[in-house]
Amino acid sequence: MTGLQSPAVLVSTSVERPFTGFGLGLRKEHYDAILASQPAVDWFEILTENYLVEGGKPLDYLDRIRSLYPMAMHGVSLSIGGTDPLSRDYLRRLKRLIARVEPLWVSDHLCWTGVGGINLHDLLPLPYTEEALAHVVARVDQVQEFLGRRILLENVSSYMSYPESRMSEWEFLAEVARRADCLILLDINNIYVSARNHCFDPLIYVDAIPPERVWQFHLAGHTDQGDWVIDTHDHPVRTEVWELFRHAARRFGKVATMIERDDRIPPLAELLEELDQARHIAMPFWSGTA
Amino acid sequence: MSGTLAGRQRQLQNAVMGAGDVSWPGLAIYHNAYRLRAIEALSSDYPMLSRWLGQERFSRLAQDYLAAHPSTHFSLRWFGRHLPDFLSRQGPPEWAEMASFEWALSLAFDCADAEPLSVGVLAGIPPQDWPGLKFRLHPGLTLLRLRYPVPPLWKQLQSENSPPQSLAAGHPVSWMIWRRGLKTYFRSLTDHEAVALASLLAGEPFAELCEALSGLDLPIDVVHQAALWLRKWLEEGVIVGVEAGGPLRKTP
Repeated sequence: MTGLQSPAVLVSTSVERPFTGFGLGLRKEHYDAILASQPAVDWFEILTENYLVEGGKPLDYLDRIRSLYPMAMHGVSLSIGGTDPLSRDYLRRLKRLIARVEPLWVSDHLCWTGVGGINLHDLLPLPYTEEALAHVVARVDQVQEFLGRRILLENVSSYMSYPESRMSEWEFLAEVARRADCLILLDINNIYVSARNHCFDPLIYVDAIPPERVWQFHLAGHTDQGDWVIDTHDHPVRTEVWELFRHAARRFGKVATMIERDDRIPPLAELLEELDQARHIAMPFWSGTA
Repeated sequence: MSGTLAGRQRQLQNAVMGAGDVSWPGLAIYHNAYRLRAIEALSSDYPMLSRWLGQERFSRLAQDYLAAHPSTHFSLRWFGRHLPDFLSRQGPPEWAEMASFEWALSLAFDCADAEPLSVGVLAGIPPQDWPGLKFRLHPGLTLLRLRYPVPPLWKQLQSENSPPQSLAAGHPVSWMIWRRGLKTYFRSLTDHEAVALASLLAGEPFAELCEALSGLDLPIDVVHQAALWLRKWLEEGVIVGVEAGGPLRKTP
């Protein structure tokens, strides 16, 4: 695979992360409201796959909103932990979209999505083993070389674990980032969800992540079913997650932060208020810092 | 790749798809999500089929479809592409026709953009070029032949929630579905106009289009009729290119 000549974000780990403020996930329900009111959102995160189409409305809105706001690209189909070969078709399309959007950065998930040519369209956790670690690191290398830029990998929420795991999720994530020299999109809600499901202390997780690797935070709502906490993205951010965000904001310093909502999508104004809440929590720690 | 991780993933995938042991704690959550996602994706591609069948029947259909056609594409956008075929093999034909119609709408929705030619382009073509003229149609154009009045039902379903339970088959009618700018359109065609459009869709030059029409019982001269349809399709934004050996000038 060949790389791009002039990568925008292919930089050494010593380069300080950019802080781009507070963003929202771009959802089609809000397209017209965004164009009409140009709300005070610092940037939008797009779901990559929604724009891997040939034309029509999705790309038309994408271009118009991109002309007004910076964007980050967030994918769900890379399957970096999958054992099928990486899809060259997907990577080529991804690279074309990157050229079109000129995103702040490009992210996907630390997971696998299917095997044997099948896509389950879910983000399945990996066993935290040396084998999986070496496998993921090699694939991140391939992707970063092909795209000519570093990628961010996001921690997923999970509802199962593997008896063969030999390290914690946070050790695995930190080690992938270190060995592959990639970046981290830290989903605060996913940490909370997985902590509840697997009975670990979310603060230990947050404290184990190397701050210089974390370029973005995700916030979202979940559903608490008692036995299991499910990452549904159909509620406002819960109090416990705001608390964990406060801890992360203090520990990591300025990190671009955004809210995801994928179901029961409220009017844009409601999400803007929620985003203000994120500002309100984080800015006391972040204002005044360079 | 050593086999441990790959083997583990195959084992888990089988379980998530419902073909293996789902007693592993938490796997049921992935299994349920897998099924629900399929229903949701299909009902967003086939919204009026879903409304027509009602939640229960549509969910059952989605499960049967998922078992036969698990997604093999990186995007859920293409998960439902086999539903019209699937239904034409084992569903009531009117469901298959509704699925074909809605899939054509979805293809028009996000196909590649193409700028329609202006109507004036025909006037600038020298007469000797006409027999060899080839017209390029908008990539989102689909021509369907339907035995059931599916498009009117589709419209009706959009506005009401109490659809007729059964449709009566009639004489097959041709329909074209296309996009102009960002808007998707559909309309019916006479059998003769459909023959002409099918000829262009097959990439045949103007002379062959006229040839295809010559055996039909047209009320006016074949070439005149063909030119009238071309004009209409140009006005509708269906024609996006024309070539006569080499590309022609676009006249404003």
